[in-house]
Amino acid sequence: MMKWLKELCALHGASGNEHPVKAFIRSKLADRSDAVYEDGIGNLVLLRKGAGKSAKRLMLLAHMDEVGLMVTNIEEDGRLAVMPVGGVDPRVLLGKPVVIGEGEIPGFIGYQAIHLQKNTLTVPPEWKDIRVEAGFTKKEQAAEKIPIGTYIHFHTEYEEFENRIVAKALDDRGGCSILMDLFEDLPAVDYDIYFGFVVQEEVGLRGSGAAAKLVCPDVALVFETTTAGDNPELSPARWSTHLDQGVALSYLQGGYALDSRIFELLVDTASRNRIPYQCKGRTVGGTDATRLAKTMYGIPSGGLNIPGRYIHAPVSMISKSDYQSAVDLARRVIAEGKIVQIMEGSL
Amino acid sequence: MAFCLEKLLEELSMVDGPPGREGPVRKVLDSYVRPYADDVYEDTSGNLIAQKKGKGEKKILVSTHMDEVGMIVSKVLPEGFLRVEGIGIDPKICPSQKVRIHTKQGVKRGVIGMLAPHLQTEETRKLAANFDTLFVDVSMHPDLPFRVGDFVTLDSKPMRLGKTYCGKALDNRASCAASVIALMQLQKRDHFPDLFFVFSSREEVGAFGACTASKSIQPDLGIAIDVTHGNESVPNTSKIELGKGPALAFGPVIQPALFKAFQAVAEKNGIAVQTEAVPGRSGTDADMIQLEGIPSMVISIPQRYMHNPIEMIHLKDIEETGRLLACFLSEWEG
Repeated sequence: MMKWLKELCALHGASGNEHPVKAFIRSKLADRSDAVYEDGIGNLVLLRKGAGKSAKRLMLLAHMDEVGLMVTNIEEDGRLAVMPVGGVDPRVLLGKPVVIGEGEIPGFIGYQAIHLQKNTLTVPPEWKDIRVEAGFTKKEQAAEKIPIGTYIHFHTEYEEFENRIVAKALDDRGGCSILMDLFEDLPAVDYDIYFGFVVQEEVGLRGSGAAAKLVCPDVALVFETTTAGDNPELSPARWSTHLDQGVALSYLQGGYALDSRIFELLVDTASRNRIPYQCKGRTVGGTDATRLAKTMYGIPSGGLNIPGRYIHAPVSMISKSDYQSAVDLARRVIAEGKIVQIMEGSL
Repeated sequence: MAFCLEKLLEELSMVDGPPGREGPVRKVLDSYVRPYADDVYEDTSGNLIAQKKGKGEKKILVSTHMDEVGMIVSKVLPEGFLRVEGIGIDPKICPSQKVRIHTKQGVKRGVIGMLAPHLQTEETRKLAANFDTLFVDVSMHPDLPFRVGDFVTLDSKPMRLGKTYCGKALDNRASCAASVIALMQLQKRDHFPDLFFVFSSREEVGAFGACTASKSIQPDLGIAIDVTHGNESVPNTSKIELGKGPALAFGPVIQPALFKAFQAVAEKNGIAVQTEAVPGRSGTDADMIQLEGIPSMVISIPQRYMHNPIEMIHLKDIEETGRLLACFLSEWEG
């Protein structure tokens, strides 16, 4: 379990810049795939054929991209102005280290010393206040090495504890890692399984539709790292998920009601197999399941989520046992195989 | 082994020494100053004092504080979170920051979290982080080996960017490094008074270390080296710039003759300096040294992003501050 998670989280792949993640996954799994597909938007799809008795297709999806920053201007003093790639709250950036561009030039987000703040002491920073410091003193000097449009990624050391992972980009390298773990130890089934590593989820669910069109799956399962909120900022009633309580199953998210047959199948499989699970208590945050529902014939899908604290920030946190529950449930669902018959049941 | 300033700064930035808990910093500095000092000792306040015997007529104290900003645990929540109070730190730089908690059972890791954007509301988005709402997630330590009063320090790694060095606690360990450089350069000189290089404790909470040191040493004059804001536009204030040399302060805390003497030494030795007007308290160890009736001087190394998890300093400014100090100490005619 988690064979690749550390390496996955160390890769820098903000939306539109997923190629390092794709190259890594391809290098680990392509030679054991029955077919490898890449498309024009940048998705990677790997096929594992079933024993051949069934023509059904299950697609597993996780997105390779992470939130990040992009250089949008260079100031006269050589500092970089940035805007977010995906949903980033500027309040989590002050004083944090970053790496800039393909060359991974080190830098950090500097913020005015507390002594000098007069009217801004209790004012949250806005994007106009966020400047990346990379040691340049002049605009021309910086522009030579860092063109406008350069991607900037968080630079956070991956840390593992007894039952915690602390890292950047767990949303959604956690999902990518689950797919890779499943690939490594896949139950033998009759039907075909497609592993979709998709791009640009964080900027509007832009990759998954094209990937699904390549596959035309009967049904899909989307693996995400989702919001937790189980910290002192929210009362328990407002928590989204709770760490250590198992894989989080979603029934409605970002305005889309997931397929009830799949949701019930996931709940039933988890219950019967005594796999810890929880139902996501909040409906915030879209996933690629929403895009799939708008793709082709409205591809039915289910969502298996790892609860994640502080996602979309340089430092996020998941529970290893929740990750394990997600893997366990996915393996059971795949092995039992009822998932690909789901279209035959009534809604 | 040849001296490497970056290596010293890396060592100094990586160790933790919040006010009154400077032990690990003392250890690093002790190893650097011992070969160049006649005596190295720790006093009751936690100052590390490197004494270098000179002509024996007069005594000069050079104070550089070695403590750093941080936090202190104010409450341990059973769900695996800590509430904290700040020590000189801006709460706005805290969200998504890794920290080290110094417990009786050793250093433990923690994370200051903030709700993901998905769970923020119109109201909460308008709020700046503050110590009433900040928390440290320590749920990775289910046995919760924490107590109210445990110190918390920022976990950030230093980096070299261009000609600058950036990292935590360079306020004021950059100045400690300048003192080390001065001590080394004095090896080649013989004409100086008795010198006391004080690596002082507890500056960030009121310069208690410098207070004790100046009382016990009773020097003829005291020099504080600290950092000052560089590359920032402060209204009504001349801009101090990184890379343009140490800033000589002038104001009520500064003995005018000392200020002039430093200017003269800088000019004679071709050391570029900047001037900083300090019309009141300096916010450095000099404030306490002067209260003992000792003529005092403040030299500042320009720094940007002071009290941030990553503070920025120009390497040449540290070297030149060390050289200015060595020149002054051996050329001062008292």
